[in-house]
Amino acid sequence: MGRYFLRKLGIYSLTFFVAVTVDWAIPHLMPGNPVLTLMNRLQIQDPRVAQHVYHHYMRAFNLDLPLWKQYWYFWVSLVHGDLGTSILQFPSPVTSIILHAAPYTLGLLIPAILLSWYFGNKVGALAARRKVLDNSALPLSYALTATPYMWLAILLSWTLAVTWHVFPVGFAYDPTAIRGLSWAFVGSLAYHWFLPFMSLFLVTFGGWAIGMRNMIIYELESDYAHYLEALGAPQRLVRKYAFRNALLPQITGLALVLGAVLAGSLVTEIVFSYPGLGYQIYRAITNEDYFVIQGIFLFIIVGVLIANFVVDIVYVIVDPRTRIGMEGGRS
Amino acid sequence: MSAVAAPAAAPAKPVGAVRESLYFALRNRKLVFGASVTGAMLLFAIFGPLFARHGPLAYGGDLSLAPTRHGGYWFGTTLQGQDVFAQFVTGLRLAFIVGALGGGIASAIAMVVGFTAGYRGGIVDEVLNMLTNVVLVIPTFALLLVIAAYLSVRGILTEAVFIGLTSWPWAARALRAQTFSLVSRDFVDLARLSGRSSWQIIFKEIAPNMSSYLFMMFILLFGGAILIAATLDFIGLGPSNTISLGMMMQLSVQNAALQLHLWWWFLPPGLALMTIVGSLYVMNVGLDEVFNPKLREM
Amino acid sequence: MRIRSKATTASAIALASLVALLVFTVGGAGASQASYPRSQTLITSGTQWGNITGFNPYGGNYAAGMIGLNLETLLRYNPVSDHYINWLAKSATWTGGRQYTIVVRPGVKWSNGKPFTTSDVLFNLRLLRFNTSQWNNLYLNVKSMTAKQGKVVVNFKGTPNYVQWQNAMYNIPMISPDQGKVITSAKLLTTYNPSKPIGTGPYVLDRPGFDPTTRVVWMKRAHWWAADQKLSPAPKPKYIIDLVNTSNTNSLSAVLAGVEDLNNNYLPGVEQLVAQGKVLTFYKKAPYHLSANLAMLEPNTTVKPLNDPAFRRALAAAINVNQIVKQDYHSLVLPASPTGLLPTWFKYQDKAAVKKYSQKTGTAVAVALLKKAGYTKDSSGYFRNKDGTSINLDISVPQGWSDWETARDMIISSAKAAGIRMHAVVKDFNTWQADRNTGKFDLVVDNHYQISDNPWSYWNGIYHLPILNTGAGQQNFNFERYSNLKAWKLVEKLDKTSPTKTATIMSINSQLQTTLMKDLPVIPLWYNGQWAQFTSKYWTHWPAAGTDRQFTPIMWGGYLNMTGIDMITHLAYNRGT
Repeated sequence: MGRYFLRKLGIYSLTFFVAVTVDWAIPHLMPGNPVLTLMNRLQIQDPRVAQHVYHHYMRAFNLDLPLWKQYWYFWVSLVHGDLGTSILQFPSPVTSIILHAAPYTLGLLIPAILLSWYFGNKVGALAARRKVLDNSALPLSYALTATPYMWLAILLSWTLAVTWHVFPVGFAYDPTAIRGLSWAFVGSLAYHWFLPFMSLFLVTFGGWAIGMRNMIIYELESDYAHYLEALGAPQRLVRKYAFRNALLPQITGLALVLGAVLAGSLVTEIVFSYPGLGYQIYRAITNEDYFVIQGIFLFIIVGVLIANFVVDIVYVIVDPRTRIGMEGGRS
Repeated sequence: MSAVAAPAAAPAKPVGAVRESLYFALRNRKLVFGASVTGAMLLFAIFGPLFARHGPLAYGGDLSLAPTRHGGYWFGTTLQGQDVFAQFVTGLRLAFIVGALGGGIASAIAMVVGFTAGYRGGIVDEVLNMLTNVVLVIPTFALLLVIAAYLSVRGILTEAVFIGLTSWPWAARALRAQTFSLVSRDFVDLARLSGRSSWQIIFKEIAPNMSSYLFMMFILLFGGAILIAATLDFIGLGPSNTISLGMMMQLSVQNAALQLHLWWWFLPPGLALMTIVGSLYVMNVGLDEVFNPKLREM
Repeated sequence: MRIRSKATTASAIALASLVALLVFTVGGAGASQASYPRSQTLITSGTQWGNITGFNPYGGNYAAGMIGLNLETLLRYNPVSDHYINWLAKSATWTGGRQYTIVVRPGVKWSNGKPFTTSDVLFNLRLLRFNTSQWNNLYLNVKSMTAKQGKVVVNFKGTPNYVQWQNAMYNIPMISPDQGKVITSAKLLTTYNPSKPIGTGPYVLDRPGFDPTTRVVWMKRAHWWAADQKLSPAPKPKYIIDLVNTSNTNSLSAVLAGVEDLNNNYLPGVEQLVAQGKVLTFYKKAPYHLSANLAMLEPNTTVKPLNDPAFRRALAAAINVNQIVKQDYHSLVLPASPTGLLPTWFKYQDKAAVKKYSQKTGTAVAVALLKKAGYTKDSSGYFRNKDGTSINLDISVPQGWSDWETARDMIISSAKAAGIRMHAVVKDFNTWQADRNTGKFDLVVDNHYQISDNPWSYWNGIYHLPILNTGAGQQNFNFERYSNLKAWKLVEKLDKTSPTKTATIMSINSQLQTTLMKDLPVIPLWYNGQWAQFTSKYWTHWPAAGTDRQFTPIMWGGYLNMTGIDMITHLAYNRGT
């Protein structure tokens, strides 16, 4: 078991290295020069001064060093926890940009994923049992999971926010709210968080519900289930085992769905003007803000790898069959 | 995305199996419903553009017109006076093309990676697993921006290829798990003993046993590709010189369609996407029931 | 077992969060205490694109409103009436061929209580010595700066750059030396970042309210010299909150709902809302907004056939600007004058020259001009170069700028109608900009050369030489790479012409306009507006045409220190709330 985990760790470390290298390389492969954007904002009239400022910024961001040196410095500062300075939002350090934006995105993602997973599985399992629920919940779930994230966001925004003014159209909290640990402020946060959260939650919920429902039905029709029934075991027992087996792919699904929900949160943040990582990444990409792109992607990569690792471990704990297959043996 | 139902592959089919499948297929409500809706949308996509009276990007119509029969603006016009119906059917076509291409490429890659990893196991599996992980974590939209930046004009082909190159990991993993379970079966050992090469075994013994599964996987990848393309288009990374459903949603939001209540501009594209992808998913479940007798409700 | 107990714990957590959710949501919806008083707060947006990086006017994305509300300038400028307003300077004038004297206004106090003196002015003018300051080139021409008896006297080495210096006088922000004394190098000028800037203006930063990703909160000071000395009404809003931009259309919703009072984004469809009485704009009818800058078609005048002025004139004739103005912008903009001069500079416009050199437009006119210039059509029906090669021009705008993309498409189809083949190339902003700066394009739609106190900034942009072919390429001017030494010399002369020599100034302006209309180094298209939408839910007496409040309703950089601050000081409560 120890060897198995060490191996896993080794693989993920390798994945980390490769992913980080690719992450570093991508922004640098983008043509164009972000310092020029900065320059344009300064509107410098005199060309001599312009050249000075241009070189000054290039030096400040190490952009005049050869590529391999930039790569080396990247790892060095990574080890020191320094993700660099934003070019567009100079002189904000990247870590501060991430720290300011991450809570909003995590605040959307984590509840959306966990709650939709929980309720989706519950509803899916129930639907597998009761025909009535199946006929109503199932088509709804199909509709939800097939809905593009941004369209649901648009619908919710148009109906509940723009037209009926039930919820705010966007932003993180009310402009006049005073920040602090007061009920009023937290309430304002939640009030503005609700619609973006709902649009992520609803779409993801649909997927889990369907998945669980299908898995349960499949499990209930499997040999061991029939065998147990033949032996006279109570339905509850059969369902318990069926649920447990059905849960396995749903656990794997948790790590996989992260990517989709992340993309979903990007478009949701755009529709609702929610100041999270998605919005920051979008701006960084369109403005070629190298270090911000790298920093946020690093954050995402680490998060996804950790999630994968955790899921792998949980899965192995829960299902012994897979462990054998993973080690290349034949059962 | 919905978790893939992972049925065990049925044993090799006898002669009447195809007819048997067809019998159940036509009686499965989900399959019939899903297939007919998808088919209907496909027909709409193929023939719709023939009915459009104006070019999708042409100006000249009244601005912000609500749906009307006058002038053939059945879906109304945009804030700049473009024909929403024409844009809609153009986008519908593009959606199917992207889905087929993107889904096809992703399926092909998933098969190669999944089969090889599942069949070989060991080091090969670890390496392919690592490759799968890497592709899984790489932020896909940044990759597209690099590609897009190198191209002065972006096409639907590039978008589809890109989606295909990045959406295969989950399918590869599922295929790998499936292959594991089959690899230990007798008929595979027999094939190995008879001296067949690995690829021959994979494609002549294992894959046919999973054919239904592969088909369903393709459908899911097809639907997934459509959604990913729409999301990319919405962010602004869509194909140039044309219009797609995702771009319609993006333009409508940017042009205050929500505030000006130009519902005909943003409701149809999303509705179409939901309908197509939803019916594909429903079709998939139906197929699962058809191919896996244990799931049939009769 | 494990799954079961996991499920129970999960249920508990889920239930708890659901309850918490409901409590917070309901609580949040009704929350009104512990917040800034809405009826005494002015909420604005449309200026801050991207996170607020700090409070440094020389670097980074500094907080909107800082220059104007907190930091002030020696003079201000009124673009509608075209006159300078003495502000922190009691007077600032040329007192000799090479001397400029600034009389510092007495009785002004910084927000830390210290008086504003000549040494403060000297300190700020000396900051120009760093090459990271955008006014560094002016400093290089300064012989000496001295302070005596409440005046600061600047002596220049050679002929002063009259125009640029005067422009700098209403743009250089006065920062407090108590904070700014740390700036001892060029680099420090750009990285200087006080946590709470000290200024002379009516507002100071409310630090607890500051959230770099979301908003900046300015709080009214108890005393402000301009109100105390009766030079301006005291502003009424106790707080001014400027929101970081994330979406134009969400801002529109915010204005419609009264969540925002003023928005300076371009909002398509606004004319419908004005007609329905849901928002206010400066003008009640078209063009709704004052003009801000010129949108033009920049041809790369070094590639054929764009290097032929006759071809450029034909191209200009082919473009249907009215279609763009009416169908793309719904008359929210104005078609440009043939000279490209902004309406605020019309007093420099040579009417006779305009009559003589401006040309008719239309497809037939364009075709006739091309034929007259010696161009012939090839078998495909399009015109070809004189050497026989075919013409296929690329035209690009930054990707995602939808109104420009629409305009670009309209230009393509009108050019095609006249037989000029054109195609769109899609580029994201940075690529577009880099290509524009380095000359890798045929045509771009661009806007530059903001409203200012002198059309010199416009001419400088068009005619500036030399043209850089290395490094970053052109930085801020002459992207069309037009080389006309005679015109450039006139522009330089204009900068060095004393403002008293009105005849010379008018003559130079006239020559530059004539050159523009004859040669068309750029093709003027329309004027982008000073986009401003506001609501009277909480504040009234906004700037409006035909009133005594013809101020710029804009919070963008450079506008508050024109007459934007007057907008704010003239706002009144809406007694209805």
